[in-house]
Amino acid sequence: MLKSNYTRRKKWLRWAIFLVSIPSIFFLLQKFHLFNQPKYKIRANMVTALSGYQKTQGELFTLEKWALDNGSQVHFVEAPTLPMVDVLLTFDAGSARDKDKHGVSLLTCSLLSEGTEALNADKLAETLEDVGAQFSCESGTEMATIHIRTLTDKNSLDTVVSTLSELLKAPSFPKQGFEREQKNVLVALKNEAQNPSAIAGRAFYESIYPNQPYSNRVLGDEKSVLALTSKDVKQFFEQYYVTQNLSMTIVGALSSEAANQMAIALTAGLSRGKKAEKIPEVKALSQSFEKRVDFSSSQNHIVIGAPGLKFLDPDYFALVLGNHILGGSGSVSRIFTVVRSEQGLAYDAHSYFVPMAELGPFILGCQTEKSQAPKAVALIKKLLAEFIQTGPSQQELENAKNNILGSFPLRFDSNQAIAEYVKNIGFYDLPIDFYHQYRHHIQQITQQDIIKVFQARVHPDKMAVIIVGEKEAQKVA
Amino acid sequence: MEISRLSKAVAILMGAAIIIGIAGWGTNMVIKSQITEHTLDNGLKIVVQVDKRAPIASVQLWYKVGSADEVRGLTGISHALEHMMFRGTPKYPNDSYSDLVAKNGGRDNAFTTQDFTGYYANVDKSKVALCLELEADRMQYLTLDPALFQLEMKAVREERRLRTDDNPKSVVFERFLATAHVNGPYHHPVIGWMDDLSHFTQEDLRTWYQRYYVPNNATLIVVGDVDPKKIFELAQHYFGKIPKRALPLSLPDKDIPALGERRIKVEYSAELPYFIMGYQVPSLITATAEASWEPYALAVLANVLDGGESARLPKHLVREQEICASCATHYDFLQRYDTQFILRGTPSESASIAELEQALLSEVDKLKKEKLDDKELKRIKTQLTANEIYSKDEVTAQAEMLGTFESIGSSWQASQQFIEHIQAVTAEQVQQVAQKYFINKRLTTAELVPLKQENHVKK
Repeated sequence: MLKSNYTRRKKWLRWAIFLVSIPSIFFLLQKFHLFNQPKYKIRANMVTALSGYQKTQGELFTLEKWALDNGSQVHFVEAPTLPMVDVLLTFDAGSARDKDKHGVSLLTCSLLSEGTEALNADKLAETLEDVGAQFSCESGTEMATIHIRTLTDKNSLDTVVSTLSELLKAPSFPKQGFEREQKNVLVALKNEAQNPSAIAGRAFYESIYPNQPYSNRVLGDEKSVLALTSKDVKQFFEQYYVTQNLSMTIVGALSSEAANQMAIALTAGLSRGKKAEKIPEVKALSQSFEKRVDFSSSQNHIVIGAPGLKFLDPDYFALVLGNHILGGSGSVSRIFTVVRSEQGLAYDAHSYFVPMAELGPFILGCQTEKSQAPKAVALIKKLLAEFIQTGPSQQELENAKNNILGSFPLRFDSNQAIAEYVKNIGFYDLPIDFYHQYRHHIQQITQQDIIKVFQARVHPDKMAVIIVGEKEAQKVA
Repeated sequence: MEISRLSKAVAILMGAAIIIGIAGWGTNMVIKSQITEHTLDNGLKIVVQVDKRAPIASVQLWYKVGSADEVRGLTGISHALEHMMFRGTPKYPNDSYSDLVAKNGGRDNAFTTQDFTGYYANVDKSKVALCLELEADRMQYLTLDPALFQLEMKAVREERRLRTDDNPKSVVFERFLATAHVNGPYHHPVIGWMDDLSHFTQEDLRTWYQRYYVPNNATLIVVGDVDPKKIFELAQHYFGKIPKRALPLSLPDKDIPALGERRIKVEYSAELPYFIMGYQVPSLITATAEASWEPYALAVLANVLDGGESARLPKHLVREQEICASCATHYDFLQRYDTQFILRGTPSESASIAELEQALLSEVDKLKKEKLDDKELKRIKTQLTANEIYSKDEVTAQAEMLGTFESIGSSWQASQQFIEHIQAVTAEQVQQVAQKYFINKRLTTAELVPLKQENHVKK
């Protein structure tokens, strides 16, 4: 049964990330025993001699980093307990790279599962699933990530690595598969059009990123998708799925030498290419404005915000810690406490930063029965204004620090979770000890720091307010 | 509509202490988990699994009560009580539970399903005692303040609007269940019908709380870097003095017999059509002793159709025939009562609902007429075995698996034999369950007929 599993707080529904998951891909096999091939053999401890080798140790995980000759970056965490490995190949190839061909990044990612000339979609899937491996490609605004999870016995590893390196060398992007997936994107667009939360997210990104690639929708739009050709997909692959534009994350039961061999083998067929150009700088909004989207639903979906935070940002920790208190810590945050616990206006009420390469959004919002929307908007605005003016209390700051510092190990409690964090280090070119130093940075932040950065960086008079829902009930003064 | 946390993905995330030997690997992998149990005099059962990969613990308290225990007028009360469990006791008033857990570096949440209600906190291993103290306190002394109850019910009604009323697929699913289960335990939604959410009172909750929140109706699960002996001592200290109480007689557990196929159309504001069909089938608990293999055969069957990109629905219906934009199956055999084996999907641009239904039925027919070939069966067993290893990556998932088995009336020990049972399934058995259960009399279908709004999505 679809277990109707209700939780007190929602953990789902994060439209802001715009991730579209494509099932599995796979294929080919030919048992060429990669790890026995002399050309991949290197002596023990040689990884430490590779270009740009760095290592940072810590109680939660130890991270090693190096570059391959072909230019791709490898980040590796050895996790010996379980006989499995997660490999993430992250290309700077999300919808921010679509240019005028909106939707091409997603189709490229999803059509990898169509296989190669020699190994079609069925055979690809069978080959990988015969050894219990999982494969997917996820495409978002910034990243396209191929994720492989496999057992680490020799047969599984050999099969998976040889199959995927063949795929990356020459994906076929066949006409029939292209046309089918193109039509399925049209279905996905209709699915999005019946989801008020997704509609609000789209309207919000379009509003705060005018003429900026972060406003590109992952799915594209009907017109742009219908105009795409399989040639566009091939060109996109050739330009962006290249080693100079790739960061790899490997977490699992391998030695660093084996991880290095795997990385070399997986990327052997990719061209070197060029790193994607820098994303243009994001401009702040010049004024605040409200935009309504009429939609037939019982609730109004409210999204308020503006461009907010980069990963490599001098104010990163003060903004993140401040927001934790304002609306980022679930049921103990100010916004949740007032909007839900004290007023019962919403199931979920929150604020959060989405750090990106350039300024990612700062978002505040909730969903509420339509007649209550004006009240909810006013409350959230008031809470934000108060926070900017006076910041957190000493007690709030202490509690928030205790929460972040104390729960820090929980973030890294699985290989999967470690891989997701390490992926950020690779993609955003963060210092290798970014997460190892995280608690230290949080510890240093004072009340005054938070007030200062919120006053300097968060401007309620330059924010978009998006309301999706039925209009007749909305009487915002 | 997958608002689930314990859906198919988790149904295959099974426990440990198994020996995995797959022909051709040349080696056997042994992954052992250390699991121990202890039951207090008052009936509280404690299950501890040691996992030292991180210095943390997941502390979970599960009560055997869910929407399946509810009756007309009180639908949604189990979930409402779950919300109120965070609204305080005399010693730890309104919201202090979450405040304390947060201050101590933990993360908490709770969940309600058809069969059970669970509370968890993931914390540093040094904070386990605090969690147990708080859980023992709110097992006995919940305040259920009338004003806070009114506020919380407002939030619950917003939750229903968000999850169901503004989500056409959820609406169809809710109506599907109400049609498939005529008077059985899974007739009504976990969140409850909207009218009931304005009907019951805090005194109804109090009765519910006193009836079900007793140590002999609960299981404490702790997974993480902990010492089982210490956990048992702490549990005795905090829970040991809580008296056991008689539990209410359980409600009738069976639906009236089906007298033929049931079909509904749901007309609702939407952009896309959608189709659900389900056959009534046994769960792990309702399978008879002689047919205890059947739920495992059905689990294999679900993966034949939808266990990956090589499975039959993606291969035949998405790629070859281009009838489904997406099609999937769902069978959660970890349920207390008879359940549904579901096939569902969204048609592609070029296909109709009728064609989609026909295509799903022909896949069902094929399963009844033809035996699986060995290669396909072997692939599915390999996938399920690998998934079992992958599932050990997450402490919370492991605890949820133990809690689920215990709370539906099975045992954590059974969770450790999942792979053995799956490995024993034969191609003949898969065909047999298809023939036995995939018959019209057991079938319910629901079709979403989209009503388009004129003012929809104006820019």
